[in-house]
Amino acid sequence: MAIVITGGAKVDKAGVETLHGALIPWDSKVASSSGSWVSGLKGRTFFDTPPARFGRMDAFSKLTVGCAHLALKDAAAAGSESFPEGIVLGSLMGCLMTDIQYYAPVCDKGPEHAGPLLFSYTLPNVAVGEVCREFRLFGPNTVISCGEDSALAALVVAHGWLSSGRASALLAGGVEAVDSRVAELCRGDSNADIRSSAFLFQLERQDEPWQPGLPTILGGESEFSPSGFSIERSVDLGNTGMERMWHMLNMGGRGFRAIDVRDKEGYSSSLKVFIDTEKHGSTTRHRTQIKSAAD
Amino acid sequence: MKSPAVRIRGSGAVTPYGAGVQSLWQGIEEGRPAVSPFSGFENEGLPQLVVGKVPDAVDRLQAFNGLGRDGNRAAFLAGIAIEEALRTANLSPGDLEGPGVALFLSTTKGPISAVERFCLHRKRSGDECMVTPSDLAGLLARTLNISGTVQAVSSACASGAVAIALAADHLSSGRCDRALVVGVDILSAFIVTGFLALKALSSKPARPFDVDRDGLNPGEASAAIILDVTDENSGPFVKGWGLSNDAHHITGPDRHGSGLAHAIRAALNDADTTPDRIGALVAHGTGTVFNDAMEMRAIEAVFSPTIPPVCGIKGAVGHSFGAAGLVEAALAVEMLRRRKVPNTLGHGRCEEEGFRFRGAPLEQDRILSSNSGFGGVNAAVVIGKDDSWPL
Amino acid sequence: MEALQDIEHRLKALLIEALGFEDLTPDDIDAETPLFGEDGLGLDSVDALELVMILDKHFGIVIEDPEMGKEILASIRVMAEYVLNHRKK
Repeated sequence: MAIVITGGAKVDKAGVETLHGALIPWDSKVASSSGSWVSGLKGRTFFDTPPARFGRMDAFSKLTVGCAHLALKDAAAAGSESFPEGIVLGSLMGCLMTDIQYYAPVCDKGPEHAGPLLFSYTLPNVAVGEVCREFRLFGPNTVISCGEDSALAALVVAHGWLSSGRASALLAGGVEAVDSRVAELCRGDSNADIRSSAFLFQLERQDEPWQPGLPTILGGESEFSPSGFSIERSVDLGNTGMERMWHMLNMGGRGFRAIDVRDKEGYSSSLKVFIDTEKHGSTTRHRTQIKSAAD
Repeated sequence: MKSPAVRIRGSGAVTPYGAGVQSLWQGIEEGRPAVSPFSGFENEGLPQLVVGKVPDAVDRLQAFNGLGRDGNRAAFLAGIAIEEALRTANLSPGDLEGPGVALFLSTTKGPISAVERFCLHRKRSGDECMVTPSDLAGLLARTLNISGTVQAVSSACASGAVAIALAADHLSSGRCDRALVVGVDILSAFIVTGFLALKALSSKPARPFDVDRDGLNPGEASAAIILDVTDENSGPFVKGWGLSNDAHHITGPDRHGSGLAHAIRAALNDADTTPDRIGALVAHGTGTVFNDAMEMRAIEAVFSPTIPPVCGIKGAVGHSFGAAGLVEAALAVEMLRRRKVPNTLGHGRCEEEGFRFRGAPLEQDRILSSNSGFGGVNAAVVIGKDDSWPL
Repeated sequence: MEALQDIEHRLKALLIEALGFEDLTPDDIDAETPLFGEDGLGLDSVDALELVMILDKHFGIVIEDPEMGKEILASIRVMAEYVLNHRKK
């Protein structure tokens, strides 16, 4: 039995990229690249035919749903025959951006200006709900929040659920959607470099014999250090564990890799992965090679 | 669920009835709801509302290790619940320290005051570092000196049951020896304005599952349970859990209840039990037309023809969002201890057949507690005991 | 006095903005298309609350009764006619 990664996608200020595909930089026609790119996401950024609901969603949900769509497409294009039953999402900031967007007008103008639709999005779980609704995921799902790399912790949870048979395939990863107001609230500096991004991977449990060459998650841990707290927060904040993981998966090679993240709140997570692209070509092309060998 | 058994060693709560699980039980037994008219949000331009507010007398209590002395109400309420959980678990604070202990926090908005203050003043107040649920979980972990896994769970109003599920999973897979699961949410203008905009509030005390129900009462509360693993055959135990998503609508539940039914069946399977062995259901029962209709459909689908007695507490204490699932778990433990199913306060009658909402003896030693939340999430937990408990 | 057509145009624009329909312009929406249900624009109950807010904020019309709300929000045409006859702003 192995827990493998069969697809993935990332969305950040550079553009959109899938695990088995190339980076597509932002095109100013589909998303505003000035200011906070995450505020200018359009359905066409991610979908050939955007879902009807896409425009109603807040930025956090758009980012999550768009990234999920790309990750699912990537896994299918790379030859996966499984489809996720659920999703585990990690996010430190959650929907803070939406919280402020919702409540600032209420403060300024009164509760008659409380938007019911926007209020619906003031829970990060609703982004998970939009993913489940759009892609018909009926199984286990949750959002966890545990410091600056909540996404890595989400992969650990997903690994556990897959290993114990709660699901046979899951989406897992993390999303941070932040703008200058969130930066001002959390860091006292509206120009602080806290980066928006989304990383989602399709994880599957494969029973023996499993597909060789796929990155395999061996396990991980999430811990806390009570004495590790520092009032000096990172000015620089993003999905650092996910960035490292993405880089590691794209580098390829053969052997064990570990991704460790520790933040200034005291949270830490680690993930152990085994990759093996030497025998079967790079991660980004191994599926195609296997498929063509079978043709 | 895999062995070893996950035992609920202690539980604590603070609700609109005051501090203590016993005050919650007593209040429900005496048939007096603790929700009441509240005008505390006048400054925010809100009308008088019926809410579940923790009484002012509780503010004079000391929470665990001074939590909340700085005005952090969510930390304060959590500290009161943790204090009782430790006491009833017969543990000292030192027993919750170290890498073998995990903490799971269930909350929807956590320390929401930071966002409210920011929106009011448009700038950060001082060294604001209590903003997210993760910050609150970190504070609790530091106060208790917990160094195992610490996570805040955000599954909307289902967070309580989800947090219990994650903790049970952690314990049964050997990743920790002990787990503290805390649920808390405070009354806030943020949440109240939103539910008003959704027209989901009732102007009267909520009436779960009643034919004339017309909305929920927002509330605040905190509850905590301490879990560990044991070979002893006492109890009560978390026997199993199940999670699902309706995949239907982000705020409106799937009217057929199939999502919740799926979670309930998954929990029953995981607990290696069957519908006829469940002695009572602790339902989510918010008092809204759609949630309660969905739940009854789901319950019918799983349990017909013999539906166990159903109990809901949101007519008594309101809907405390992230705390709800933990308060309901603490209640389930009390139901097992006393072998009794309490009345569902606020319920008068319903037209659906086969449902019992009146107090009754608990005839089987398994209880199923479920919660559902925005985003279509459903979570169910089976809590049970064996004959040798209580001693 | 604002003509029915102009009210319809305004309502369409406000609906597009409130519900984030990126690819629609007011001219793309037929005034008689049902707003709710699968045969129409496919709006749901939360969208309905947003439309009720639009009627309040922009035209001073308060709808308290959900049953009445369903009738008035049937289509842009029906909404515009109601605005013509009941507006306070």
